[in-house]
Amino acid sequence: MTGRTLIQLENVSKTYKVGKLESTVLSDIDLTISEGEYVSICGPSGCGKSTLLSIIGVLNGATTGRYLFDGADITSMKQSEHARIRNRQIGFIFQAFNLSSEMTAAENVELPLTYRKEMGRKERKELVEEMLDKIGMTDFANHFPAQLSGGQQQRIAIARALAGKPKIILADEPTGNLDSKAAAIVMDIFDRLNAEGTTICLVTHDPRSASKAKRQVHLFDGRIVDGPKEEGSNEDSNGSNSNHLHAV
Amino acid sequence: MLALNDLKYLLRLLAKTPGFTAVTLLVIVLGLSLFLTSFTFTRQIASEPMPFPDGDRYVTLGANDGRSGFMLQRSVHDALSFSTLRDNAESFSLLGAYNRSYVVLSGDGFPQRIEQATITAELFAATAVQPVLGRMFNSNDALASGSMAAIISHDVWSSFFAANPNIVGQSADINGEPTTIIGIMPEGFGFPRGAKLWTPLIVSNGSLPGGDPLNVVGILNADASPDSARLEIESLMGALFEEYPDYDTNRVETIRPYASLYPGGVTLPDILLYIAWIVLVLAVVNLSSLLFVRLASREQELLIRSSVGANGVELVKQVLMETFSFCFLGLVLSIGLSSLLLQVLRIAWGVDVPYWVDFKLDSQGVLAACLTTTAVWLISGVAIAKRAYASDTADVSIGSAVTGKGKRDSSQYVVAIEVVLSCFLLVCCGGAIYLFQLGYNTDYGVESENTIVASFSFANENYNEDSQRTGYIRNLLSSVESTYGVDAAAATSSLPHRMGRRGTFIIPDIEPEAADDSFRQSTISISADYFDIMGVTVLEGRAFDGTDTPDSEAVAIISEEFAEQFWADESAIGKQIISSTDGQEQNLTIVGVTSLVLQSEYDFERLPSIYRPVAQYTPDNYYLVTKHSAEVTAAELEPAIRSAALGVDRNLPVENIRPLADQMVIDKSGVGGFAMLFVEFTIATLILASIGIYAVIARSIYLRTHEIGVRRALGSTDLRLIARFLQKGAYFLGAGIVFGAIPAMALSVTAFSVMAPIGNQVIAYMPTISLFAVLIVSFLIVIASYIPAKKAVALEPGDALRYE
Repeated sequence: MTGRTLIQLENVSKTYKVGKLESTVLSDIDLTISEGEYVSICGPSGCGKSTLLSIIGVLNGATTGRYLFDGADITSMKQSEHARIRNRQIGFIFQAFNLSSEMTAAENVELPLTYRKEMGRKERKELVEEMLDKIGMTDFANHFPAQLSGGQQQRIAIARALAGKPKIILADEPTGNLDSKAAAIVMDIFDRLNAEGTTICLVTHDPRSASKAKRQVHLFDGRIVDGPKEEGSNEDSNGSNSNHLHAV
Repeated sequence: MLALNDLKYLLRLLAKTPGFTAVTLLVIVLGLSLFLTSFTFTRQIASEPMPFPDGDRYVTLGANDGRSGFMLQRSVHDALSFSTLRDNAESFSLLGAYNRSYVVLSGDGFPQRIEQATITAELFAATAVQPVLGRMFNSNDALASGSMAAIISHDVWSSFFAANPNIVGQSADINGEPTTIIGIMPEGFGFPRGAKLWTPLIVSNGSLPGGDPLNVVGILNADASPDSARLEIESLMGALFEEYPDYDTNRVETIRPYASLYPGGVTLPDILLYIAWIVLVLAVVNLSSLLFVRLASREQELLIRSSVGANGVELVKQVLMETFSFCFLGLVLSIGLSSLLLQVLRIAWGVDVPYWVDFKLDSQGVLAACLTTTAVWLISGVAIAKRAYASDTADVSIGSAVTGKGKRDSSQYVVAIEVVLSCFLLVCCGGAIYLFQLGYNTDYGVESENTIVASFSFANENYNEDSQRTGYIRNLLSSVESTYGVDAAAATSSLPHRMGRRGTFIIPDIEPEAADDSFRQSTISISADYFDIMGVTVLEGRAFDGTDTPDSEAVAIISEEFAEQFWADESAIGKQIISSTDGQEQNLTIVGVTSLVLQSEYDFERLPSIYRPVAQYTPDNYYLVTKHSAEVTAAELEPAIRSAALGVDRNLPVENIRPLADQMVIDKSGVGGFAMLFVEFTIATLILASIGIYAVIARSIYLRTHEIGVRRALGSTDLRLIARFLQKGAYFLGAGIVFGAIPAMALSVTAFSVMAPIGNQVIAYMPTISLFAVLIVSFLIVIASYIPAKKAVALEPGDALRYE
């Protein structure tokens, strides 16, 4: 059930400078994600998964290369347009949940909607209720994060990501801080969302979570490879990065 | 004990961050040194004990005006009341009396006008200060009918007698009377304040009311309080009033510490000390904030120490030692800076302070400094110690505020406290500085250019008659005017910035309202050319001239303000006022109205002035006012004026010859000293507020870097985030206005309202001053919010999310 191209990275690299030292985190990444896909980006720790997700999520810019989001060139956009894309087109889910401890669950879910001037309070409340209902957290709407379990907090984070009706959900190790039961619930939600048509891009180093996705992208030492690699190997199986990735 | 390694680590840590170390020390030193300076200064000028046995129990017996409540400046006792109290009051171990006057000491050199205290021998002996040469008074001195005995100050001995070691037993003329010098007091000694020559005072029983006024000083018994003593005095005086109805009974007896320069009520030194306390609190809040920031940078180290076996107590010791090192260094620097500030203040204050006030840090000041530093150390250290203790068992994460696992960030309360205190202090200090600035720059309505003043006094038996006094003045002015370079000379009993002789007045057909100050006045005696020399314009009528004689109609000149108050719609010329000064009532005809001359110090209290011609009113003390040409300087004229005066009467010299402008600066030195302290407080507040507000808000934003990443990930724009922090700043400012600026304004208005009319000018500007103070704090908040917020949003959102 895939549609038109949503994410298109062309020859993207990311380099960090620390003093005089340069550290290349991503090299020559070509990646396309279409509407309705469920993609997982996996690889060992430090391979650049989160950095790649940050670039896809317009949280970080690429050092070189081109990035088209829904056909629009991100690299030529202003900061305010980046913010608009993050607010309306992308939903983020983080390993550490990143909920505001000073806000209730409902207020956390409402937070991205408050950045939309056109949306009234009533409309926001309805949407929040709908999202909480969708993930089965209606009863916890007025709880603060500290009063919730890890799994519940992550479900709130998912509701917050969904609230803006984004075109894509980007999840960075969403089960990393959860026990197996809570992790299973979260992964089931992803399955259900994807079945309903939501595009999902998941970063994980957990093979079980990765296997839930319909397509897996393997990263190793900042490059996309065809299949899983042993840690410590620098050899690329086909000598170059894949241009298009295929479901495993 | 702190291990050597810990100490080394501590020093390395301080040296590694010299900027932080310097700022932290600056905060401690500013708060502590200003507090210490104010504490010492206030204690010394307001409650420093006399340096005599039972020096803390010396009190002055005075009275307040029963109608206005103001302290009566004059001496309220006479020989009868003093002897009654001395014989009957049980609250005192000793009651003594003295009378102060200027006398002329003459001998081989130039006659010198000096301040004499005629003092009861018992009171003088109670000081237990022995002469460096000669002896104290004995009963024979007091009762001797022949040559009078006198003790002189070290200063008089050095300057007048050229430190002649054989002076004791020799004779000198005091007001023309041969007097035997029997002793020389130690250098610096001056009790009563300012006295340089002492003669014995005998007060015998059986006097009648109305004798020479006496200053009465008592030494309270150990078991008597000022209140209980006052009640006893009130009772004894009440009985005396019943027996002698001639006494002015419209008064309330008072007992005040003798040493206090600011007796009664909440005074400027008190306000100064309150403000010093608030500055200290601000410094402690800042110090705690800075140390919290420091702790954040040491958390990794503390966790490592914890992981290798350090327990909570050891971690607390680590943190507290760093705080202690800051406080200890700060204490040492503060003591040094306070000593310096006190000496600067001593210079700014001028010379008119009792000799026992030395403006030096004493053991009590140092003890106060140590106790205050310990308190600062404990208050600022306890919170971070608690936090450090937590490192033993828990994950201390400064970035935990927004991640769903942390607690509410308390720094916002600290910012609110900082802002409230800063607003409060800036408004209070701003008002005080404006008050002193107005006082210091008061336009007295005269021209001081090329004008020299000198003082002289008729407290001399040769000048008991008014005709003798007017004759001397006439001859003096004539002699001075004939001096080369002198354009004109005049005499006045009071310089423009000084009040004249206080009295009251009645205007026929105008009923005074109860407690209305407008019916009190100050009378000033002037010679004919006075207004011309001082550049005062006679607006209506005439100045005094040769037609004003003792036998002619009693006349007066008033200021336009006075005339406006009572005869707004008609001319004051020819109107009658009944003036009462020095117990003498007189009908006066107004013959002139002049432009306003302020006859009060700093214009804090303005009484209507009544000018009288020298020929009709001749008090004891005068100033010679000389207008000279631009070709000569005051320094060049000084010997000529001195000679001219000696030519008139060798036993009546003129003293303190100096330009009028310099005299005014000297007279304003007290207000300058206060102004200087308030300026220091304002600067300190600005520095502390800048450091504190910036450090705490920046830290608060730094703690929210991760949250900023989250919000940006969710779509917030940079502008919106910066606006959010600025909006928070606006809330802090709101708190500052409501809880800081407005109460400060209300307090200032209350305090300044008793300092009319200059206080009214300040009150009128208090909204502007408050607004300015709020603007300064707003600017600090905007800077403190904008720069760190801009820095935070300069990070890419992804980097901000990974920020720890």
